[in-house]
Amino acid sequence: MRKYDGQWQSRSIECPSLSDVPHHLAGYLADNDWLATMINKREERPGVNPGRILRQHQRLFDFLGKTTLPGWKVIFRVQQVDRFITRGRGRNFHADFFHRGILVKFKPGPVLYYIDIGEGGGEGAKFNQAGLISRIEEILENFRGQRDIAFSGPVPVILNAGDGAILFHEIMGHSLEADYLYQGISPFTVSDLGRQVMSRNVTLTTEEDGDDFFKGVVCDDEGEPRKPRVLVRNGVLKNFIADSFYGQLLNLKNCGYCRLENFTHQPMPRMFSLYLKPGTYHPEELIASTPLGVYAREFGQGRVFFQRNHFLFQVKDAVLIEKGRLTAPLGPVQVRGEIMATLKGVEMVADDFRFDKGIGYCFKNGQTVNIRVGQPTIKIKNLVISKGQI
Amino acid sequence: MSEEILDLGRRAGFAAVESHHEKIFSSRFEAVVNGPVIGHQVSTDRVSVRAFWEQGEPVGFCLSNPGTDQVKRAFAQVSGFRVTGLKENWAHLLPGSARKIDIDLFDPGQDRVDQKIFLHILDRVQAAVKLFPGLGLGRVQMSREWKKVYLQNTNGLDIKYRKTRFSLTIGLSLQENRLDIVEKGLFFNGIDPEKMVTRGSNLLGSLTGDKTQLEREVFLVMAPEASAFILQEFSPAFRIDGQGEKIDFPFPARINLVDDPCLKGQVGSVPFDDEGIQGRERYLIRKGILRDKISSIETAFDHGVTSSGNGFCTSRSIFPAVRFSNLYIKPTVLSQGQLMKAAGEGILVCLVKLKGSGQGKRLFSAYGYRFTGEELKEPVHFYIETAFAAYFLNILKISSKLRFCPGTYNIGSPHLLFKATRKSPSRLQI
Repeated sequence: MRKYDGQWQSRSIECPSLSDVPHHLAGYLADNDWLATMINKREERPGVNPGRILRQHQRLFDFLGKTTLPGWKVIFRVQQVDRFITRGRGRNFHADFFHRGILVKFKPGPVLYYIDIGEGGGEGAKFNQAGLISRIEEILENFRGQRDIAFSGPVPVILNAGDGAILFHEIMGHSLEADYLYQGISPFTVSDLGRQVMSRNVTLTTEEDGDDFFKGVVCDDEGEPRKPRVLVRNGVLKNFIADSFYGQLLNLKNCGYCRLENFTHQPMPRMFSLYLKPGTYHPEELIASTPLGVYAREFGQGRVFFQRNHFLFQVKDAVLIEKGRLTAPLGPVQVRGEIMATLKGVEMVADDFRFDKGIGYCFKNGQTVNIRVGQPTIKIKNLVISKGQI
Repeated sequence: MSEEILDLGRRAGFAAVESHHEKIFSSRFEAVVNGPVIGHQVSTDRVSVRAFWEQGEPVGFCLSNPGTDQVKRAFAQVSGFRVTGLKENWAHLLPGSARKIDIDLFDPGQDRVDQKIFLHILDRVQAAVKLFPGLGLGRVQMSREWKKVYLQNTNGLDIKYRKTRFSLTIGLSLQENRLDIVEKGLFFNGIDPEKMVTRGSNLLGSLTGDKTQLEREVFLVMAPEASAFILQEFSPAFRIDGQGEKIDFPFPARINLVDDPCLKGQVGSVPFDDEGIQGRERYLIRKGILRDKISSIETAFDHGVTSSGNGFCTSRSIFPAVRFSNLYIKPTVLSQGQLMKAAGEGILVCLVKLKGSGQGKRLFSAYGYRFTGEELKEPVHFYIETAFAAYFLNILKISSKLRFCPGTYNIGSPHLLFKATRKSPSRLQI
């Protein structure tokens, strides 16, 4: 329960059924037929039998067993989240999220770190074992044959379509969150609305046709219906992401992007779906136009230091570009850059838009939520490449 | 309920069952500058169950204060998880009894920490911030947690304990730099907002330094915040299942590294771990010799040793994982001033941030103040490159004042003295 009377007050109680709701809240629930009905008729989706899952993925286990990897593990994860939110006066919402994911963590050699690759999706999602195996094989081949190169300065980096958008989630998505804006953490202020803050090649939105990842999440965790927003159009800042609390403080429109991990946490504005619109180039043109650079294929964690205008993130599998051609594997590398320069440094955007592989998570202020990103292949100028893990 | 769970587990065909029941009541208060106060109360009541067959890996589930039917259904569901390739398990190593440990984890006055107290703390923080010109205040968050833990297993273990925990977070800013100062403790009286603001001001002051030209050899006095951060970075080497560096060298005799779950007032303190193993002070390094590594029952079994009592559940996991309780470098008798005097001049490193790692080395961004004798001078910013062995082998002196810095684990350190050599104009190597 959450209420505002000059101050925000909320209370959450974990209990196994409606009949166990404490006395002082039970009266409230009794008055709300919709909530009681919805909770009572809630159904679990058909259970997932781990024994069967393991047998279904025997091919993957056989492959991993035959490799000489110093360590590996496979993690399956199924998540069903039903949220029933009532705001009084008949404003009732049911947000429904179902997710299945597979993650393979492995050490590619005698190193201290693990590389993880995976995929996931909604109810009908099937894991592509052959695809996972070929991705692991490719990473291992690149790891073994990797060339140690020290770049003398910043170089252009081409981010693979799909998961590459995690960079924009980190450096742009979080910058647009109203709490960061209010607390002065974001590099932007409300007065930046309408200003050119990114390269003209970039349009960022919160919805993309054909994506059913958050299909059932019709409202945010305050019961505010989700409204599609263009955040940046041709590089011009159009919207921020606000919840009701910071929306009031900053006089911003609430567009339904307030999230919490579960109701033991406090809600906050969260960027959880971000898409970069496709451009006009063919992906090959991006590589062909690069005399010396790096092609980033698999992405790992990142860190953003807004106050220092600096970010770094891990590319788990990178390839060297020389004279417009992919020439040698570089293995895992670290990519660093200045936030504002990188936002303005998107040189070319291809036409091959793809969604990420569906296992994105984002951690903020102690809360982890599922996220979705998507983008075509893009080229960013002047990023610093160094070897190693974050 | 716990006994019923054990009984239902046995009836479902399991050879051994462990039930970990946790009731938590927490209150959080938060305020941002010129914004309203946000209050949030949470009650959780959760049971995590781990069940073993005669052979093979255990299975488990986690439920909110369940009824009999829910537990039965959960056991029926996990019964279907059995897979082929069974090997001997460690169910027989679950403890059957535990001696009562006299350790004070509970603040009886915890109930008085309410919104009124928060507003009072907020006033104190605001007044303290005003004393430092240029210092800005961001978010202030205070929380208290009351927890009761019941742990039972079919080997006969039946223990319980209660614990309180308080935390205060003060977001401060100076020029373009921001920092959250966090203090956590088992007792509310141990938290001092004025001290936190003063410490925050010093730390932020160090962040304003420009990159400096370094001398060929520089003495570094590492403040607890900095050395605790680096110790956390290298700590996986002291876990039995750690993916950290190999330890194939003796440490200097002055180094004693301890993991102690019985320290008074520290947030990592517990009488038992989440598998029911009693906690005790454990020297991981004693007089420079590696003595032990921390483990849970499972990881200890895999390595053929006895559990150190470091199997802890996190809120997101059903099964305990290996975690430190209160890890710290044991202090000596020297004061911080004596370390600085011994160095003559050098840099007091207040904060470090991990910049990157590779080939066994870590690169840290370091912020601190130059000093001569005991006098602090201008703030400086530079980089420190170090590796696991080099870091520990180059600790020249250790001070007497131990301070804990809660991060992933509760890690503490006194001030440490190092001698570093220049690798490039703004980079030192330890």
